[in-house]
Amino acid sequence: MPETCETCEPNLFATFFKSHERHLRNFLYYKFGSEEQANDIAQEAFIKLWQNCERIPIEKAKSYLYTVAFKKSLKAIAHEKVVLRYAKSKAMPIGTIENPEFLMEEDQFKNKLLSAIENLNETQRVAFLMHRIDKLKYAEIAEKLGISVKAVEKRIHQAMQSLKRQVEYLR
Amino acid sequence: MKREHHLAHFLNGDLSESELAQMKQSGELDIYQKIALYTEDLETPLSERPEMLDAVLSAPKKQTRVIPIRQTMVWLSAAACIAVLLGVGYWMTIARTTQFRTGYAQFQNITLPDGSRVTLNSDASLNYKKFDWNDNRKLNLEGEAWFKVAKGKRFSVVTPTGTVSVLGTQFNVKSREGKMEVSCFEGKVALEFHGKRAILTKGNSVVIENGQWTEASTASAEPEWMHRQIAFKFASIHEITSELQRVYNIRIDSKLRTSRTFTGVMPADDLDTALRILETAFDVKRWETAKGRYTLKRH
Repeated sequence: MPETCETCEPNLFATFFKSHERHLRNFLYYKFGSEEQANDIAQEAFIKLWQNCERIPIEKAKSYLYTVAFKKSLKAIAHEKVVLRYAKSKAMPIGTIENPEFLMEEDQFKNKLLSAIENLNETQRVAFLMHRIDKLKYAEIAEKLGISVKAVEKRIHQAMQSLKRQVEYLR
Repeated sequence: MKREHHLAHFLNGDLSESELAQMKQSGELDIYQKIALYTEDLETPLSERPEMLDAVLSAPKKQTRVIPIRQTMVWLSAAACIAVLLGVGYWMTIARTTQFRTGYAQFQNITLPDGSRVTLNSDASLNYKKFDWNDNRKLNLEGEAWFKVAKGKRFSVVTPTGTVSVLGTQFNVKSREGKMEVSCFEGKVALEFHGKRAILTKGNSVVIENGQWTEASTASAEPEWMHRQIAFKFASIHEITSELQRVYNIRIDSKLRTSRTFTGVMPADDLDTALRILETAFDVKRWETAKGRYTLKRH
């Protein structure tokens, strides 16, 4: 076995860090809605990976990172509301921009949807938002959560049903 | 027939035309399309953390791992246990002293581990360490004792005044209130006090008091007290009364002061005779004020 593992290579580690830092922090944020805790736990998880880099090949680093973060997040107590927002730069659906009535309706729907997401149970919300916000494939979500793809699909499916029920109820 | 978890596949965009038509038919397509559309542009409010990478990379590389610490603790505990056991063992064996003590009008015969014999006179104490006795024959004495030492390594009697060492012999050591008397009955006795050394041979004795030493001779084969006699060498009246108190377990009050001394023998089992010798030697008269209590007055 080689003395130094490529995970310990600073440039490679930095690349790995940059491609996972945002997703990891989001993942932790979906779990308990606190930016501060999400940042702290993400940093702790990366530090642990860096400290143990010799034992962890780069291809195992991702699941190690999420496992550490998940274990650490179990100790986090505070559970705040998961507040999300809409990206402002994104264009509105074509042909609707100049219809104020439509805009108002759309705003109402968005607000209902946000509170519906808040009310999802944690496992459904995490899987759903990893797909919707982080644009991860189901296989990637499954890998990070340490569950099967089928389990991810089930959570997404249930999240969709729950969101529909809530949006219709709030109507 | 709908696929299992068809909403997940719908969200993933991998439903076929017919499957979408099925959803439309059941009236759920519109609302799910809206949900999909309006969750497309969501984001978390997390701010950028460009400094995090540096914080991670500058974290100490060598983490203090838990297991080695536990192992250290185990070793420390084991070491502590061993230290305690060694300490206890030391107290139980090496440091343990065997102690003997006699009261007034009491004698005690002691056989030491090497077969040497000791007879303790009244009101005396002796202690020694049983551990390693044959290689380190050393004992502490206060009071008077007679020794018959088996042949072997140097045998030492330590008293507050000085140390007596022999190789194998019979001798008597008396150490009372800063005065020390040593009599040799057989072989040779080496005597050491305040850095001065002397060799006593059979039939000789020495008295050390106030840093002065006086030599005398011993006619008997064993100390007089062993034969129920008390021998005095240049003894003051105070010394004699305190010895009589010890041997007969009586009380003698005397404020008499005299420079006169007594060398001779008194019986250890005949109080009246002993007191009469005292009266003659120091020219005093005794009164029995109560049972076992006497006062001396000048004649």
